[in-house]
Amino acid sequence: MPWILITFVVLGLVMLVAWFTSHKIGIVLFVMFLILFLLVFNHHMTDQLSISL
Amino acid sequence: MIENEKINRWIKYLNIIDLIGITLVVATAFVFQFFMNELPCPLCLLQRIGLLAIGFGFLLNIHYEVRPAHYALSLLAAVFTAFVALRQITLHIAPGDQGYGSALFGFHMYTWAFMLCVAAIVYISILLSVPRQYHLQKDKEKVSEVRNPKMRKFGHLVFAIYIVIIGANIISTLTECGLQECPDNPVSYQLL
Repeated sequence: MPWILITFVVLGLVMLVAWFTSHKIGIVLFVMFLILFLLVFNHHMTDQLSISL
Repeated sequence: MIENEKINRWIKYLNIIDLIGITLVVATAFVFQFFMNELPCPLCLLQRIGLLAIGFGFLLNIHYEVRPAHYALSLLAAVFTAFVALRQITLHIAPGDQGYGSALFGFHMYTWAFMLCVAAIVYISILLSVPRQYHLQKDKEKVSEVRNPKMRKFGHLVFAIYIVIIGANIISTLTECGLQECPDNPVSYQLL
């Protein structure tokens, strides 16, 4: 799965929602984006190791 | 009261400058990618995402009223991005390792990203400790948009540039990796 591309798209959507739609929803989506970002990082951080997640 | 307004306005302009700075840093990465033909690795792309995410708090401060919570979001993004950059530094820490990509003023891009994130953490921590920039409403849930028309126009312009940079990164990542996981050591664009 192209998770980095998905993370980029989510970041773009979060920015657009926070700017044009709702401050509150933007912040909630940004927190979800941060969790996604950490998960993708976790995967790429460990893919050279035998514990790849 | 007027003094507080002035501080608030200056802080907003400072947030706009910060956002422009972040945009310029990511634009520099594009210069490396397109003019020196250095394809970004997955961790490099994650650092770009993280750097752009640092701008989210600044963006909210520009469009709405300045709040400590906005700075907190930028701080979180800066800490996470520093982790990503630190991970890449440790990948190339062994003696004799040439590192990934070419160096800029003696440091690789990921080392610059780490230093930038540490600087951002220190800077945001100092900036959020200025108490007179906050105009919190009686109703804590209510967040109003900025009223100054000049500020609004300038804010919209910076936001447009910011969104264009994110869009360019999406197209670049799609071209480089296609609709599959990005290779650890990319040598060519998958869709070209």
